[in-house]
Amino acid sequence: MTRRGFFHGVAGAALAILLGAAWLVKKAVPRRFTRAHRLPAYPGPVRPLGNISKPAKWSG
Amino acid sequence: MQVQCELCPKNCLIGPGQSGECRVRINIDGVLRTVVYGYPCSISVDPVEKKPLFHFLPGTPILSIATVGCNLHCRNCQNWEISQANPEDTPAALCPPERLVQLTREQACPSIAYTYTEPIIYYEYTYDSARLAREAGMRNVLVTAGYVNEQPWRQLLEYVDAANIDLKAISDEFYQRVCSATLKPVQDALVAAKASGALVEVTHLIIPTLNDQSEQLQQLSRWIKTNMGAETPLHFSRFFPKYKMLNLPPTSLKTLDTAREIAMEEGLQYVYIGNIRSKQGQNTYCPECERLLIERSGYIVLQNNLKDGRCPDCSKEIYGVWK
Ligand code: SF4
Ligand SMILES: [Zn+2]
Repeated sequence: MTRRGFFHGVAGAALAILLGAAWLVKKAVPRRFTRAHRLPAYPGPVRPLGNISKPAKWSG
Repeated sequence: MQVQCELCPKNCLIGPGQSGECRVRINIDGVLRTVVYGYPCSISVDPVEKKPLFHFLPGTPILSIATVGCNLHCRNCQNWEISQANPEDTPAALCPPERLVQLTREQACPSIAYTYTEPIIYYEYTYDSARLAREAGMRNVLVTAGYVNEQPWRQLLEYVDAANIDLKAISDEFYQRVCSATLKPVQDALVAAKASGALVEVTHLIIPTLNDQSEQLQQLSRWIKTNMGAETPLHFSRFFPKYKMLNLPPTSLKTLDTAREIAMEEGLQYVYIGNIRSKQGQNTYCPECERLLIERSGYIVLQNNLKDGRCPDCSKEIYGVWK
């Protein structure tokens, strides 16, 4: 192997390691949100609105 | 991939398919999603006095909503059946912001309350509804524990006309032990709300042996006066044994009366007693000449003597939104 070929090999390996590390870091750092996106459907039972004109039984 | 929710000081790190502490904000494929947007589990017309708000459009009805979930886990929660429940188990009705505003108009309510559980955890629904309601000429009211990060709080406050914010104790230890929260963010939220120009009233639930000592009540009243102003209405609310706090008795009327005296001695001008019948503790008096301004019985306004938001005798301007 020529000296140039050897250095190319080393540089390629280093780049691959760096790219791999960057990918791992990106995976490990959580994405941050203040606002959440909507979910298309409610995960629980959906009921009709019913009679809303009376005070609620809840406090507040 | 994990996501981090930065809406409230819990700053939950949420794994794939998991939800945050409030149960309603979920990591789906690396995206934070709210599962309760447009799905209130409770929607009713209440008197505004029930919030409680005594200095905001007295005697008016207010369309009041909540979704399931809460970012606090108070051991004494009065509404734990919905605040500490999972959305999967809790029936809810479809009511997107447009429909909510339409219902408010149909019910002839001048305002909407985001209440019962915690409007912060259904933030996007609260925010979009409040903006739409404001455009339609309606007012927005929050009833909240005020456990929220600064940036989303400031953004929401732009559309808030009035708020009743809990100050559960003036002790970080109490917040941690009883509510799994901390005190400082709540204090910051209270100050920011007042500074935003919204009408702010404070509620303090008095729990026997936990936060009913005279020095604690003095300290709490002093903090409100110094940081929010003597005109800030304070509601001392009666505790009832509920949820995980069944070992303590209800607060006595004597304790509530004493608390009111302490707060007034500390210089707060409007101090009320709630969750119990009390003759004087439900009425508004002029802090200047002591004239009876608003007489209430429960949630009913019996007489309102204010003239353009002023005392009819001495003309003192009374803190509030009166029309
Ligand atoms: S709003 Fe809910 S998910 Fe977000 S940080 Fe607070 S408790 Fe966690
Ligand atoms: Zn007067």
